[in-house]
Amino acid sequence: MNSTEEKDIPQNEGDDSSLDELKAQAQEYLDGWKRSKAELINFKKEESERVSSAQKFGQKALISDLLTVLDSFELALPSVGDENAVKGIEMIRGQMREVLKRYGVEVLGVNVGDAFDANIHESIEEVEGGEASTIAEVVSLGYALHGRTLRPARVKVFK
Amino acid sequence: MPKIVGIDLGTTNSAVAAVEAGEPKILENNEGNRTTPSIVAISKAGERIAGLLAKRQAVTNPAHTIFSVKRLIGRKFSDPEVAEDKKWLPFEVREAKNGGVEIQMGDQWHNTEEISAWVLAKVKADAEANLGEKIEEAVITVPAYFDDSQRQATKNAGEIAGLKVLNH
Repeated sequence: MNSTEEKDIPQNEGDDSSLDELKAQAQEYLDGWKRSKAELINFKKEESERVSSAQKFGQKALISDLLTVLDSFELALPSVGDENAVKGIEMIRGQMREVLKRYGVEVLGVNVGDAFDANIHESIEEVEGGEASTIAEVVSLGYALHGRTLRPARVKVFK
Repeated sequence: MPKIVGIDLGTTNSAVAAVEAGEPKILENNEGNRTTPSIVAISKAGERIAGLLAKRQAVTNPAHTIFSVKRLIGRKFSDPEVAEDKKWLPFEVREAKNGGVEIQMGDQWHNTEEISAWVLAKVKADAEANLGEKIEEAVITVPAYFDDSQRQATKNAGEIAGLKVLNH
């Protein structure tokens, strides 16, 4: 019997320590579960922001490519002599702007004489003859998509 | 626990990634792009600008628009690579008191670490806006061929930008 009692003592000690171990393990799992749950809530929130941003800006590449067609209208207008043709092109340009507007595209207002602003302008050349750092010529129009500059207006700037 | 980001500090462009749900993800900057030009400038109006905005005015402000600073960071002015780059770089470069490289921007001279720090500060601020939390620590990439001086200078740049740079 003695030998059994001797065996029992370490066995009981072993039980205590394994209980502690199990408690610690349970706490670890509980913490992990809580963390995962919090991460899932955050992920869902971020995912819904991402989806709404993807809806707003997902067609950025397609819209950017379409802007080159609008540029062609701008380039064509001054070189067409026939008044009716000018009106026709202006109407098609207007129609296209309207379509793009439905998708959040707006023309960025830019005028000769405005101060250069890198948020909405891109300088492509410096020219002489005016107030420094103001716009001398608008080479191509800029556009914004849902308030964010999609393409800046390309401008020449006075030295 | 604040997020630790990974910054790819490139010669031409930089990018930032953070781990989300166990996966690394590139973070979009304020302009909605996944990369930010590694360019800083003092605009003609005297403003300090970085990234895409600095790039947009580069053509008409070449002397005060700084790019490719990674080619110079951590190098001695006497380095033949620096002499070679000096020939084509449109901004002013001179020897610093410590033998390193200094760049003129506006009416001041800055060391290469400060210039890199401006790029890092821009990507850090954009990443903070994207994540909606402060970033304190980062891992910054360096090319395998960077020597100790170039690595240390990159680390210093991170610290100037307010980041604790981790070694990995």
